Amino acid sequence: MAKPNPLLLVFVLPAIGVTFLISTFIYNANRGDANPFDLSAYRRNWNTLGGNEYTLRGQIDQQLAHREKKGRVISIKLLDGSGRVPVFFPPSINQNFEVNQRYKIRVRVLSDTLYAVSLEKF
Amino acid sequence: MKNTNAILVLSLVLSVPAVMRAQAPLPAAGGAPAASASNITNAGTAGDYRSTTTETMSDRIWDTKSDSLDFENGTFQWKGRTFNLGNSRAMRARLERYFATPAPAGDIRQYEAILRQIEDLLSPGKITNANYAFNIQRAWELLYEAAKFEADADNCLTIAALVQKTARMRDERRDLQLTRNIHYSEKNERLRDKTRHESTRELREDEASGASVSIATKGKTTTKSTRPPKTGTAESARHNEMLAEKRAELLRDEKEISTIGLRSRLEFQSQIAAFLLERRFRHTLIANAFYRQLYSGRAQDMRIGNKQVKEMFPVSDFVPTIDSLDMLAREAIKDVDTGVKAILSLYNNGERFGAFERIQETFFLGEHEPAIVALDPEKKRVLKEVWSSARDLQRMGDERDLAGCEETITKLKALASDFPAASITSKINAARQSSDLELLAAENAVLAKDTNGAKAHLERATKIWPANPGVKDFAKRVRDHANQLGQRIPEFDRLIAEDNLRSIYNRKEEFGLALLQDKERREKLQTIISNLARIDLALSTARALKKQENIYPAWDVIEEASQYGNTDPELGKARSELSAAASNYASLLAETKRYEQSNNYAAALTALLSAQDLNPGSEFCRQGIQRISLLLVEQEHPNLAP
Repeated sequence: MAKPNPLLLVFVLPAIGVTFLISTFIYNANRGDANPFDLSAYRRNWNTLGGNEYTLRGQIDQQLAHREKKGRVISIKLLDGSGRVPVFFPPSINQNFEVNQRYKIRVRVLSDTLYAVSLEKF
Repeated sequence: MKNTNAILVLSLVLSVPAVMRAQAPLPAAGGAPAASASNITNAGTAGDYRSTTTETMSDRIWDTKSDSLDFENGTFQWKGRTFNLGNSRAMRARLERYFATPAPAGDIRQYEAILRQIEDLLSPGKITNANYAFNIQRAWELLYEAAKFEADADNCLTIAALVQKTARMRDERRDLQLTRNIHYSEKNERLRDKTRHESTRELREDEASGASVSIATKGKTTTKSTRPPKTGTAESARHNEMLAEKRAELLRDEKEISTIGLRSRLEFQSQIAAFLLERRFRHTLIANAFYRQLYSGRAQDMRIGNKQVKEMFPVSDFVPTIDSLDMLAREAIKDVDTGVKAILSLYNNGERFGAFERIQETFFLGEHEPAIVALDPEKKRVLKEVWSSARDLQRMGDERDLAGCEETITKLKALASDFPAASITSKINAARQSSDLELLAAENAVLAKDTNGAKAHLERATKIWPANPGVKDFAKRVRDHANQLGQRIPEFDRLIAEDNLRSIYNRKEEFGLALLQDKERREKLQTIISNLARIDLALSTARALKKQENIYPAWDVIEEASQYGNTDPELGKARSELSAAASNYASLLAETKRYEQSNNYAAALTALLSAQDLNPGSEFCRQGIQRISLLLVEQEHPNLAP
């Protein structure tokens, strides 16, 4: 087996790294700009929202259910519009939720369930 | 004929003044009876009943036992004495005949007046030596006058004939006595001649033999004897023999005369006793009055009918006399008069049942008394109707025809306001209830397939009230029940299949009986009944909440109840009534249910949270949220970790 060219390693690898970083930056920049969640559209037909991610600004209403390794279901009172929606928080989102705390939550719609992908307190 | 009889009676009267004097003493000064208290029962004291001795005896004899009728034995008890009236059927027939008989022809008051006149003519207070013959004759003639009345039933003719017969017997006796006297006079003469002739002959024989000489001159006999005389002994012996013969003849004749007298007396007494036993008290008094005047004081004891008469008196050592019978007859007449007054008083006051009770006693005591005989036919008709109804009631009671008894009681109450209906009615009601309860028990026994028990209860029910209409219904119900059992099971299955639980619930008793022995179906039925009872309760709660404008809570109640029978038409009806007012809430809950059923728990939870916003206090929403949240969290979730 022939030995790799040292010049190639010196130039190509950093270039790949830079490309990855640029791509990641672009990806993250796109995610933060997800559309706001539309409750009425959801209630009309959640299937049309399936697979999408939305940003949901809301206030912690109450924790409805919690299973240690499964996650928890929290009722979020919407700040943009009226009504409450249940959001599933997977165990990976380890956050201390308190009632009335405000969050900007990125949710993904899978079937009829809103899964929290990320959140940001405000 | 009547004139001949009159002559006979007159001759009788003329022939017995001494008898009359002996037994009918004249009243003493002041009108007090001549007879002393001690000889009242033996001496003739007819017409005077004020003696204290008599009253004492009367009290002793007539105890205070109440009068009573014994239809079983056909007897009538009056003041401790028993009259035999024949069997019960005969008694009833007599009473019925009495009620149906119109008043007898002729003026009953006039008849009574004639009877009183006869008694008056013969009473010791009125009869004297001077008018004895006239009074007897007049009283005897009046008997024929009295006999003309229908009410008398010719009993006065019997007395008249008896008096006439007594006169004939007395004539026979007198003739016999006269003949005997003549016969004995002639016979005595013959005996004396014969004795004298034989004595002379013996004397001559003695003289011829020289043993003795006997000379009879002008009735005197001088005897010269050379040996012991024998003439005196022979004469004495013959004389004694003749005397004995004469005594025997006398005794025989006396007996014959006495037999005639006794026969006459006994016949009279027999008739008096017969009158009393037949309760012809007025004829008893008249016959007694004649007897007292025609027979001596020694002949006042009763010899005929003694046993029968004694039976009427509850005193063992009682000696019946003409006076005691007289007293009994007078007391009976007085009692009948009092009874009739009581009857009329009760009747006029509308107490016709009481009047009917009194008329029974009074009738059987004084059936032949003018006061009873002449009772107003209209009153008798009404009392007969009371009697017929009372008999019907008794018969229906025996037959346990309770419905008939009630009808008759109503009729009786209309006729006689004093009829004691309350106790009978309460007994009828008790019997009815008892019979119905037995029928119910029989029906339960049939359902429990206890044939023997059902039979026993049915027998008891029919025994208590044979005509119970429920018995017929019971038989029909048992028959129907057998048919129903076969029909109800498939019907139940069909209704279950149609989910028509409300129909089953509405006929739960019917199905309950039919499915009693079918455990599986019975349990289903119990569940249906339990569920629909809850639905009914929820429906009434929802209606109350709706009335208070609590629409969403009312809907919650409906929703909760729907778990017991969502297809129940009553529930659907209530739901449709509320749906307009609670449409938002209702549609949210409907969404919840629909999404939950399709396992879209998040969507269901979203809808339910919206519903809770509308009805924050809803327990239904709270529980639903709790339940669906758990379902949601328990779901399999994709790993969305960044």
